[in-house]
Amino acid sequence: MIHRPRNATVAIAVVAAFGAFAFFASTADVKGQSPVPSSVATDAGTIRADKAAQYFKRPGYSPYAGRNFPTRVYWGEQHLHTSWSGDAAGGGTRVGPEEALRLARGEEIVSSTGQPVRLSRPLDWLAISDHSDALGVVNEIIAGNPKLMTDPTLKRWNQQMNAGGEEAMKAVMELISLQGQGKLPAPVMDTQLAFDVWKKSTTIMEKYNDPGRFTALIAYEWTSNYGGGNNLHRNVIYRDGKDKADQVAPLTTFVTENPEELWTWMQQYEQKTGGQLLAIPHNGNLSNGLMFALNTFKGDALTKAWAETRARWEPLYEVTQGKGTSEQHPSLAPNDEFANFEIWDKGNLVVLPKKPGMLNHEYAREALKNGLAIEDRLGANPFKFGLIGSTDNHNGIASAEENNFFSKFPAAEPSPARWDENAFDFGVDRVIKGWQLGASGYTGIWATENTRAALWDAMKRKEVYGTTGPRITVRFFGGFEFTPEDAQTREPASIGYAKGVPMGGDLRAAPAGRKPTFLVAALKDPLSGNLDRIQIVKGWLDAIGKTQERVYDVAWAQADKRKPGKDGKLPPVGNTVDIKTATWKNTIGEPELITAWTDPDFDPKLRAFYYARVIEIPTPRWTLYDAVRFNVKIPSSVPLTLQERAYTSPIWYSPS
Amino acid sequence: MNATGRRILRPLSIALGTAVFALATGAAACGLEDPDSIATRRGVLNMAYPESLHVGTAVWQAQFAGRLPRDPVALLGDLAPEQRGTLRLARAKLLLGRFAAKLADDGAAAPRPSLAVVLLGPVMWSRMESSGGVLKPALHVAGPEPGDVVVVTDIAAIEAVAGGTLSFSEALDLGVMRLYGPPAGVAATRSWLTERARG
Repeated sequence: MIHRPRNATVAIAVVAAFGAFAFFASTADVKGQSPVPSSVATDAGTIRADKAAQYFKRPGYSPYAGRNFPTRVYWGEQHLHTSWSGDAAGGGTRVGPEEALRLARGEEIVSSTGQPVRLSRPLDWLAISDHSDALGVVNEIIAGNPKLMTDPTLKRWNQQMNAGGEEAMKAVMELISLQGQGKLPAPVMDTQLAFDVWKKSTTIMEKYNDPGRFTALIAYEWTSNYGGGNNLHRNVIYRDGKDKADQVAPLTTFVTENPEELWTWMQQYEQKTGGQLLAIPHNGNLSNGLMFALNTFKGDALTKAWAETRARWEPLYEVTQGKGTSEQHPSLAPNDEFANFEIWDKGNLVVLPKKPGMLNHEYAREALKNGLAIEDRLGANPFKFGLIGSTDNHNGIASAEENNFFSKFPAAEPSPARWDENAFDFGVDRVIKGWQLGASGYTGIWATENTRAALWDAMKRKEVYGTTGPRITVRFFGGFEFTPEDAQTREPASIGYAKGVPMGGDLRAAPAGRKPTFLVAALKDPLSGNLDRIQIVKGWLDAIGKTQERVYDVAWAQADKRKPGKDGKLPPVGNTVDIKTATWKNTIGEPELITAWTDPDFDPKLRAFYYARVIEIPTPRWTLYDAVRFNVKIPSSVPLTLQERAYTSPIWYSPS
Repeated sequence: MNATGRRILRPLSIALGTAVFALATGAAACGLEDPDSIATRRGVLNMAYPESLHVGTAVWQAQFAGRLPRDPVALLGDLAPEQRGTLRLARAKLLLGRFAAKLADDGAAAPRPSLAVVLLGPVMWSRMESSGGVLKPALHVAGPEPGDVVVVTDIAAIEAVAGGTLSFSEALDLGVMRLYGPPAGVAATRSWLTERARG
């Protein structure tokens, strides 16, 4: 897929037909001889050489002139909660959307626990995705929203909350108590109230949206905990501005907990407004087998129409965030020594234990493989998604940096005790400790410019990737013509787009005798560790219809010394982390890696996908920074180092 | 039970665990007995007493600067969470008693404001009611009473003040104690504590 304006493509086709003429006329003109006319009449009209030439860029001195493919990666995240989310407010979050946006733009703010905080570098974009359920309710009570003040209880709570102190505490406790009894005052559950708050939210996003400099994407989280904590959450991301977003109230789980009805709502939104939406699921690892189930929400068999609908609305999946990794579970990939990374596999969102088989329907790689099988059977792949990362922080702080970890809730913001406190506690054996929270992740978007439309379009075409925090630059192209010489260039994208498709793309019907080739390049984050290796993860559907997977090391540091062993595994890159000081040295690894790799096991008849995973050398985990900065002793059972990573969106191969 | 009502704050319940129910029913007095509820208790506290969570940060920063003692229970090897809780509760009661004694050694004839002291770590409440120069401490109570001046602090600050290594005014200046309540009561408490700093 080569990115070029549609009119240019048409023009080039025309010029190609008259290529010899155009070239000759041009040359002749230079010599001043003009032996041929500067225009020619055709059945389609008169083509003038000077007009056609504007679409036919001749090579000049600058290799960058005339490029029209995405040349920059834009960093941000699409999953941040502020004090407008009910659970965040209940957890003590005081950072609202405006402060969260200011922090993302690079400003310093004060956290809910009074700590100054700033990101190491600004983000390029941010989507605030507060829960649509009870959006901003507590704030509206405090602010005295007239729709709420008609109710005497809410009026009293308003007075008590504004009085502060024990009166405020009584009001909050009463609110919690009535919620538990299902007796909240009716106006709180009024959908119009949520709609009013939504419009306030979109006004803030408009205020901070600065095309070309910083993009504030309008979004919300639809938070289905179907069946008691089975995480079916989706973030709904708008391509649109306030004018369209304000025409339809966000969907809540008061209306439905069925994701299929979310897709219907999205379609109705688009039909009504002419806008565009996409939804991004997350935390399949906490869904107890439901996120990528092989049946519909109601348990019916999948159909082609269902598969097409899911693939249309859900082109991306959040593979890494603070509540663990959802790429692949180590038990499902025993040969993948990097799969055991920030895994949360005790239960669902309320830590109800998993049953055998549930893991198979929770992780991205399994779903990508199952998608191939479904496509083979039904003719459509419901799980054809790209991979991204975000934080899911609930304190308004979009930090995914290990040395700047402000965690999920104010209770887990920096303090000497946070590693040992209970992050989630649902009773005996249903506890998640503070140290298990992860400082992850971010999304890199390859877009033509930093605008809502360009970023959203890149998301839709899956030209995006996720990282666990570091801003590793990754290019990944697939085609049938990449050669080792292509990996020698300093401009992999020029060759990548010319000879193949970028991440998120499709390869079809391999030419006779050809195998898929991939050009993959990674450049370290200047503030993070060197690179250990690039891997390509392949999944395929074999000749008897079984799904398979394999992880290939395709480029690695110190390649002259590190050779694969008999088991095909590379020796570890080493570890320079100093546990006493929480520092490391980039004396191992490489700052950049690039290769052109050909699939040695390719069978042109079999469906497959390929994605790149880039692994850094070991660096300190946030727990080690805490241990050193707070001078606390953390048991050896708690991980103190990690190998950060990036996951690209896949490229799919189809035989036909 | 109304289904919509159950759902309205479901994200809150889900995210904060069973604590919401425990809090709503008043099932436990503090987070040392009911660790599940600590995050919620702190969250409610931060809503009722704005920026009260800042005290936690001020405390660890003061500990880091050597102005406050570290938590000795954290250094006691591999204890079960319940054992840690029991030890911390006993220690908190002991130190709060000493703290009350320091305040009570006053001799003032005029009534002092009633105090409700909350330790931020476990969100544990105690009340200290003054009458005729006599301070009656009630440790480990459900919460403040109307008219109380609320002192948000933590056990390290209580230990330092009770032990005489940190004065009340230093504690206020460092932000390891914050006062909330009726303005007149807060002003009177500030004067009282400052006097005790001199005393």
